[in-house]
Order: sequence, then C-alpha cells, then structure tokens
Amino acid sequence: MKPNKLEQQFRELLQNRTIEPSDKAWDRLDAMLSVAEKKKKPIRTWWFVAASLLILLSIGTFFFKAEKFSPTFHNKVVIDQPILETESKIERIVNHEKTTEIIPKKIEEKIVSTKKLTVSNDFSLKRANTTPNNEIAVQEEKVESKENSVEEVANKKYISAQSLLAQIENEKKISPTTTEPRKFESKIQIDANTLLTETETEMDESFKNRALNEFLNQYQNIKTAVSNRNKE
Amino acid sequence: MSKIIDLHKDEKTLIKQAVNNNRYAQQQIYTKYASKMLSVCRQYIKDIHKAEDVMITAFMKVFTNLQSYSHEGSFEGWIRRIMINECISFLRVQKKVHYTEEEYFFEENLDEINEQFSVEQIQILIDALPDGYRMVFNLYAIEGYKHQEISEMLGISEGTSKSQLSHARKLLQQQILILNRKENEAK
Repeated sequence: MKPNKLEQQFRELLQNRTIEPSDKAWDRLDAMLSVAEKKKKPIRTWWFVAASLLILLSIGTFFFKAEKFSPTFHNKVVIDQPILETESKIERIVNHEKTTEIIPKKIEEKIVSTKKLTVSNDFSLKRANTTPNNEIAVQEEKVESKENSVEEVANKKYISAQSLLAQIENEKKISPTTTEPRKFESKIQIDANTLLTETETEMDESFKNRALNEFLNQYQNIKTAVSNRNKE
Repeated sequence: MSKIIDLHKDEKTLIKQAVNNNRYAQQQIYTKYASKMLSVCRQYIKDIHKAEDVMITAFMKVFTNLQSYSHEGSFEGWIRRIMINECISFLRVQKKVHYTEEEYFFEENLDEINEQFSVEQIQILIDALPDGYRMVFNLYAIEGYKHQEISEMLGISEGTSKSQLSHARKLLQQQILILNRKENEAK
C-alpha cells in the first residue's frame, strides 16, 4: 500500500507549489501578535508584583509578631519614647493649664502602670518559663484599676501614655476600653525592679548597640518561636 | 557550502529573536514560509480565503509556541505540522468531514497511471474527493504519514484509515479515466 507512482507525482508537485497570500494577511497576523503581546505582559508583571508584595507582607508580619516575643528590648525602646513624650506633655500641660497636683501623680502612676502593663502583656505570650498565675493576676488587677481611674480623668488634649503605647504596639493586647476582664495565660515571672534597672541601663546604650541587640534577640526569638510552633 | 551554513545560522538567530517577540524577525519567518504553507492549507480546504484564515491562525500558534521548537528536524516540517493540525481542527469544527464507518478495504488492482498532470489538475482531482477520503489521501499520499499516525491525528481506527485511502484511490482513478476520455473526445 505504498504510495504509487501517481501519488508520488502528486506529492512532488504539491509539495513544491506555493500560493501567494493576500497583502492583508501579514497585517492581520501582525495585529494578532500585538494583541497577544499586550495580554502577556500585564498578567506576567502583575504576578511578579503580587508575589513580591506577598513576600514583603509575610516577612513584615512575621517580624511584627516576632517582636512580641522580645518584650525587654522592644518595650524598652518603645517605652522610652512614650514616657519621654508624656513627660514633656505633662510639663507643658502643667505649665499651660495649671492643673492640680492630682493629675500629674495619676499620670505618673499611669506611666508606671502602663509600663508594667505593657511588659506583662508581652510576656504573657508563649514562653518556656512557668509561674503561678496568681502573681500576674493580682498585678493585673492593680493595673486595671489604676488604668480605669486614670482614664476617667484623662483629658482629650493630650494623648495618654496608654493609648500611645497602644498605637505603637499591637492594639489587640492593650485596648483603651478595658472593662472586661483580661484573660492572660501568663506563665512568666515578672520582677518589676530588675526590669526598671534593665531599662535604665538600656537607655544608656547607643542606638547602634540597641539595634544590634534587638536584631540578635529577635533572631533568637524567631528560633524559639519556630521551635515552639507546635507546642500550642 | 558556507552559504548553507550561513543560512542555517541566520535562521537560528531569527528564531531566537522571534521568540523574544522581535516583530521584524517574525515577519522574516512569515515571508519565508507563508506561500508554501498557504499551499498546504489549500490542499485541505477548498476555499482559498478560508485556507488563508487557517494559515494565519496557524502562524499565530507557530509564534506563540516557538520556544518549544527544539531545532530537531526541519523548521519547515515543524511549521507544516502545525498547519495540518490547524486544518484538521478547522474541518472538524465545520463538521464537514465524515468518515464512513466501514472498515472493509480491498486490495487495489489499480492500473498504473503514467500520465503527467499539472498541479492545477491535481488540485482539481483532489478537490473532487469527499472530505474524509481527501483528508486521509492527503495525509498518506502527500504528507507520508502512516495509517497508525493518521488514526491518531484524526481520531479514527487504522482500519477506517486504510479503507478511506482505498476508496480515495479508486475514485481518483475513475476520475482520471473520465478526464482522459474527455480529453480524447476533445481531440
């Protein structure tokens, strides 16, 4: 059933034949190619943009969450600023508004309480050490009551230390409306004095050292976080 | 000898550029192969305008799939294969092609026809065939595919392919005889 002589003839002649396409043929093809190119590029570049954004976001949130595990350094850095700010603001307010003595005291209390509060908040997250819950609960109650009283006095004209810290840190942990009881699963032993002394020593360090230490600490904490990820 | 090598080199670089959407390179490739490919399409599709449409669509596929061309075998052969596939799809969509289901094929006792035909005559003869016969005849006799390959390309059995070819050949012979008779009568 091979191609016979006739078919071979057909084959030769047909294979060598050419038919000129119309003039418009290339223009049509050209147009189709342009359309195809336009479609390709946007989709591809958008994929790259989306992918890079995702990566950046994930890194960002990862670091952001990881900061929670490094309370000492983070808070120290953070606490410095609001304390300084509130102090300066208090000064201003005292000068301008001639407020009574009560308010500055309460504000001081608040600063201290918020400091303690923020520290306790962060430590409340997962760490290896365990502590009796009572200590923390008591402290928190104190803190809560202080906080509530101060808030009633709180003036609209200045940002309370509480909300300042809240702005800087994760809002979930510190909410200005703390009427409901908090449910911390804190297992960390907090020694306020040592924390304070640590804070003071930290303030003396240069920014460079702080940043370095913070980075190292975060790295350590990421490691522990990763290793502890299955423990919940 | 060096000229052939240069041409090959040029085509390789042309293809590379065309893969990168270099419109000039794409046009060069088109200009080189379009007329031959239109001839291929014309074998399968009787209407020249539709054949051109199919040719252009097939060239789009050539350029969009150009990166998958592995430089094994001839470039023309690769393009040609895309053309034929596009023709098959086109005709399938048109639902014009019917393959008679019979699988019976007969041994041909065709007389050897020794006449010479012109290309135009050949095209007329092939056009006159029913679609199914023509398709199989083209793939087997003109392109040189085997029945097993044809059955895969068209989605038919090998037996059907052989049957279609037999019928095609028989018909062609009859038509040539009629042609000859007419010519003799004209003389």
